[in-house]
Amino acid sequence: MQILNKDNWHSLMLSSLSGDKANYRILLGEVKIWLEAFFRKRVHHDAVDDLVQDTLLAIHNKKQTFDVKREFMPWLIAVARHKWIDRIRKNLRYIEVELDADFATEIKTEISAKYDVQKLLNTLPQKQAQIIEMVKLQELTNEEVAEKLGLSVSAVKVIIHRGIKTMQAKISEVSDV
Amino acid sequence: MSNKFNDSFIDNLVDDLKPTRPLNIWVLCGVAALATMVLSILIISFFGMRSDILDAFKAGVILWKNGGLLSVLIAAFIFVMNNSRPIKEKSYVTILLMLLFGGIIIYQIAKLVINGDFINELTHINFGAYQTCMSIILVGGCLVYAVIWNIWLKNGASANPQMQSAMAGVLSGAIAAFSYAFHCNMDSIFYYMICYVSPVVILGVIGYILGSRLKW
Repeated sequence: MQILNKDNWHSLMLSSLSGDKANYRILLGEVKIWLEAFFRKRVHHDAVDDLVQDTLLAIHNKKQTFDVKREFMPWLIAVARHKWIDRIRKNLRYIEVELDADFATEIKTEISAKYDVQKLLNTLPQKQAQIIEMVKLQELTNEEVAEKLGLSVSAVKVIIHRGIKTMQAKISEVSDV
Repeated sequence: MSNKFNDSFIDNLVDDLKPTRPLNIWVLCGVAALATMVLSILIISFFGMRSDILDAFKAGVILWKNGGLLSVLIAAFIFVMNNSRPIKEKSYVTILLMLLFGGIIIYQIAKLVINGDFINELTHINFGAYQTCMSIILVGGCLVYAVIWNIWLKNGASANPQMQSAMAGVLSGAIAAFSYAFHCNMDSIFYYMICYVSPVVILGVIGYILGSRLKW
């Protein structure tokens, strides 16, 4: 684990503003580690890398807004917070669009598919339907189902195979009509 | 060894580093002062100073008319100055000066009501050369805004860029209106509100709309 020397960041930033690339590299490297920790506490881990990059880019593009007479940390936190809030706003907009267009269709399709599978299962013998439901809908493993129902794993596999074949046959009948 | 030295993203940023001058508040001061001077000189040169300037000064007209616009100018300037960096700063002086301006308008209207001139003034507004007045404030304000945009706004990083840009619009409009008020002798409060205040508000709205381009 690397120990960050935050006290040094102000002077590193000052020399970066005057064009010192070596110090700028050290500063960005250390700030990157700090930002990763900052965002990991606030956003889903999938979004951390993007936010760190966005913030580093903002630091680079807006470095002239750093007030040399003030501390570095409040400025860095303000930039990071701005990017974080920006991301939250974007995500909220994104969710709205999803709900408006695709999301509703997806939900409808999913409900409709579940309803159709349930109807097909009702046509099967009770035990066969129960096993298919446990494996295909509740996503239990063959071993778990076998253990619960007191059957062998191979028996479960055979029952599922036959049940699905029966269901496929029924689907073909319906589509032929 | 940390992977920070192998990070290509950081490498690109480091390669792109150039010496940078931090934002200097005196640059914004200079732009605002220079714009006010240049516009005032141009307006006075082309249209002349109002002929009754001394009487208007003695009657307090210059104080409330030009002074009101000056208070808006200073208020907007302080807001733009305080909000150019990511750290938010409270602008109490801006609020106070805006309230002062509101107070000036209310006082002028109250004076008319007390003297019984309110309806008469309202129904007999002498619009004079309102086209010149409004167009000079709008065009002059747009020019000043363009300068402020290039020199200041696009280099800043406000926590609220749209509000920042709106106040820069108000600042630009107030500079143009303040300069034009040295020429104009239309001293009715209603004329003032229509031909001076509304172009300033319009510039503020334009600034707000353009402010979306300042998002960073």
